Amino acid sequence: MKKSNGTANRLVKSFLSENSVLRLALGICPALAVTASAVSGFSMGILTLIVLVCSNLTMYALRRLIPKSVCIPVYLIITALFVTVLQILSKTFLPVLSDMLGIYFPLITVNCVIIGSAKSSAEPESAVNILLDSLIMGAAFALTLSAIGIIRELIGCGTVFGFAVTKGYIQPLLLAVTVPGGFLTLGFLAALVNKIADKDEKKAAEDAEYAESSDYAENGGLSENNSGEEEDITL
Amino acid sequence: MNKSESKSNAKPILILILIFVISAAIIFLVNLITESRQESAENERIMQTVSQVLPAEKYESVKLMGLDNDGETQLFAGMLKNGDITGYAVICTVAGNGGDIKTAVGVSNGGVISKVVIMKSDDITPGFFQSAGSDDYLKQFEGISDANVVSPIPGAETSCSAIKDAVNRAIEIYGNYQTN
Repeated sequence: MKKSNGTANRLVKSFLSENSVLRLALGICPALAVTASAVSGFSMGILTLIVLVCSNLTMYALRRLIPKSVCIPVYLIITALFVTVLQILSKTFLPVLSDMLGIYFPLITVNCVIIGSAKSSAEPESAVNILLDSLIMGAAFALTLSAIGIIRELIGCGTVFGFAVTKGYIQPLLLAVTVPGGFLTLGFLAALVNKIADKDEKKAAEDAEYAESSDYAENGGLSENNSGEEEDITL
Repeated sequence: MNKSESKSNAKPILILILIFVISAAIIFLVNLITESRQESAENERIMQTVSQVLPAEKYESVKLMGLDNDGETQLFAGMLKNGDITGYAVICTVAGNGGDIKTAVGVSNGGVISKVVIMKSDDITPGFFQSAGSDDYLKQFEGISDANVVSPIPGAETSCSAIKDAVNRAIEIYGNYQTN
């Protein structure tokens, strides 16, 4: 139960206070370039998730063989391997996806979200932890890109994932699907997430303060005296 | 530098080279396995687009000659079962605003455009009110024999001009084959 709560907390943290795109400003390039539609944003997010999980697990499996001095170059080669294989498979079985993402497909290799997780994957954690971390980080990235894509497509074309929503009722504002529209959407979304995350952090800090003070009151403010006694005994 | 020091320096380099070679081998193998399928999928896609821009009973690839042969333009003749040509479909790549735009243009008998399709684009600029790649814009080319009569979309002039160039090129190629 405790473990599932921990995972849920990590998930919420990744989506809000530690959101790689909206809070840490990592992976901004694909977040702006390929989110003109919900499908392309979602696809980029899922591909990044797959690459992140595969690279981190491979690095974890090879961690004893790889000296620390070449850890990052090896991680980059492994990431490039997975990206290239995915691109070849996409060209063969899903050429539309490969055409849609264009140059941003191979650029997943140098995505800051992936490179940022390179160090943690080489640390001696359990494989389950690495898998969970990668999944959470990738899912947060995919969700953020999808959210940006959905907003831009809805405003710019009146559709979501190709299905008409406001099309025919409201004149679409094509600015949303242009690069300036991407910047604006990202900015507004970042402001919203910052507001929510700051509120949560403030609340958590207040709760912690309250718990500390109530703990002190429960012990009748004697905790310091107790420690003092202990000190006396030791002395 | 003593022997043990050079040995410890060589180990990371060797590991890096080994991982690089293994990765290259995996990519080579995956490419080898999927190469033929990739080609057939691409051909299938081209034929689907050709049938979309120029309805016909059968299609035949036509070899481009002279100035038309830039290595990227492909020409298909649409035919009836008896071999009568109903028109031509031209697939060509033109330079857009932020990259190349691959188009398929169908020209039916009489040099009239039957349909224009964007096959691949690195960047189709959305204008202020309409995208250059939208069906509404591309439909304006249907039934005409001079692409210059279509007005560009405000804010997407370069992409519109590229599409116009592709259509004019298709009309020109059609004209060359008609006179020959």
